[in-house]
Amino acid sequence: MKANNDILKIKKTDIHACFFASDDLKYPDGSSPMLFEDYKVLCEENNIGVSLLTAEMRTEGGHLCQANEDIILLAREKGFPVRFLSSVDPRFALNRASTDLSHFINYYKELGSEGVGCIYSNISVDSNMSMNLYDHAKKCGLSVFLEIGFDTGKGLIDDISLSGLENAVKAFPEVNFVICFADTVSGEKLGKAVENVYALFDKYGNIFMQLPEASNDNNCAVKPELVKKYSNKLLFGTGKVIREKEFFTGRYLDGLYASESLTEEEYCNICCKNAEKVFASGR
Amino acid sequence: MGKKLVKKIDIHVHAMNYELFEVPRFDGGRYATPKQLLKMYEELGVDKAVLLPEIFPECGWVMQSNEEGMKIVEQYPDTFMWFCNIDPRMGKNSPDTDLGYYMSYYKSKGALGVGEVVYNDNADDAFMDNLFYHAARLDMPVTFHIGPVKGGCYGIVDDLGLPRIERMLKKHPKLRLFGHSQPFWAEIGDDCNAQNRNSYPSGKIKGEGALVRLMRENKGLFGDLSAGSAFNALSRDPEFGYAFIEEFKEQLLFGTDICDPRNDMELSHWLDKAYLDGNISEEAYYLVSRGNAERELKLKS
Repeated sequence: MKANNDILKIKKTDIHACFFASDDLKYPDGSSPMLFEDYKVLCEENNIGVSLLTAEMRTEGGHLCQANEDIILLAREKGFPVRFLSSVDPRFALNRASTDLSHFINYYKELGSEGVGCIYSNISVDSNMSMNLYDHAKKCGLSVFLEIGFDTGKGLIDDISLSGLENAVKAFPEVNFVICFADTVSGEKLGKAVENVYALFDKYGNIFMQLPEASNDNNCAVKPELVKKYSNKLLFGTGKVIREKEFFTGRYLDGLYASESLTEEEYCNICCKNAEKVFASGR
Repeated sequence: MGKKLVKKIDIHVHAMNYELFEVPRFDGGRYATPKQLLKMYEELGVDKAVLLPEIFPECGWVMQSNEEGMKIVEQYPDTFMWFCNIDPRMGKNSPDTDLGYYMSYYKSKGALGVGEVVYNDNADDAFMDNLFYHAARLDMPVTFHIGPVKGGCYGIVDDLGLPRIERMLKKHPKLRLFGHSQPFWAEIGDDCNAQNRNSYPSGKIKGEGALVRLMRENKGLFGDLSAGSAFNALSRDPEFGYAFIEEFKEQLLFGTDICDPRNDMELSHWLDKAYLDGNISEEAYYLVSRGNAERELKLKS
């Protein structure tokens, strides 16, 4: 068994850090948007040392809207290190597949953006507009971080076999694709989706995944033997936007290391090294 | 007694408070800051304005939250009021989402209406029907932009003659719509066609267009006079324009749609001149300049 000190010395990089300026507008079920103070607690509980901020720029299924500028300014206001990914909706500017999205990507890259995302647009993952985004990410030398929601009304659309994602990954071998799944995808569906991602891991070197949420519902998505096998393709992220929702993944990951189901190298990869590698070109 | 000009209420404006830090447009332009708008308003004779936050990605540049809009109003309460912007895909991304939840919340925070809605799908689809239902129920007018097609542009989509908007007005009799954009205003004349509807038709208006009929039949349909499209509609044939203003003097709202501090907005001085030269009545001038906005936004007790 690993001692607590062994776990604590390895800080995690959160590739999906979210918080809002205000929690006044509650979610319809009464729960609260995450504030910066909530996120700080999350960082302490999960031993997070680096946070890549992502704007909740979500149209379909959205609640509070955030611009990239908002998260930069909010972090500065709170004295929090400003490291971020820039969300660029494929529909920006001209609502066309021919839009020069490099205009946006490069602007934010010059402000320090280390990648493009998280993309939540409810359009097909391999639609012409989405492919245009990846093309411009390639031109700007940045990785993309995508949320896939299948047919749940949130996130990019794909079929459960992830054929659209595969099209994109194949079409842009120079672009690193990091994916996560919308919170509307859970249980067996999530398990099946993750299995299909693992199959893509075996075929392509430029696809990665945010470690799926480890909860009782999602046990099938985080089988220890597969987390170990694909430890060089998994990245730690929180993506927590609801204060009251429990986040288990950090403890789960620590538990795998503590029980020596993961070696130190494998644990480090998931905690931070893969993120450094994937988003390195943005630094 | 000499004629007196009145200060106008701008029913349609956008502003960003990032102090020019936000991503620029392709031509390097940015939205005006509130300070820049105040300066422009001195010249234009505007004393109050309705801020419309930009939350739609279609043709968006910077996503602006309703909360950012609220902040600007808090900082400049003597000048700015605001509408909340509600995307019909919010919440559950479903036509049965209770959009009234969001509208009620923002109404309680001072939002006087909803807009500018630029969702790029049919104006009478299930999502828009749901949005209109809740807006009507909560007595919040909706400012919308019409797009001529799905894709490659922004705005709720309607066909020639605006049949989808008409359907929605009939379905929701208490709905108040503030119409805006080229495809809306091009319908002022019967020369509106598929080729010119998303631009600025010119020349004399030989016959009344669908917009005239719609505004006669639907007192809940208002003309938002912001941007070049409205100015073009009124000024391309001044005789027609003056008569239009007189007939619909209770359904027209002055606006600018300033999107850049470099914008040259002609309508304000054109209206002043129309009044001073006796081409429109004092009553029409007052109502269009501010009276209709005061009434529809319940600004006077």
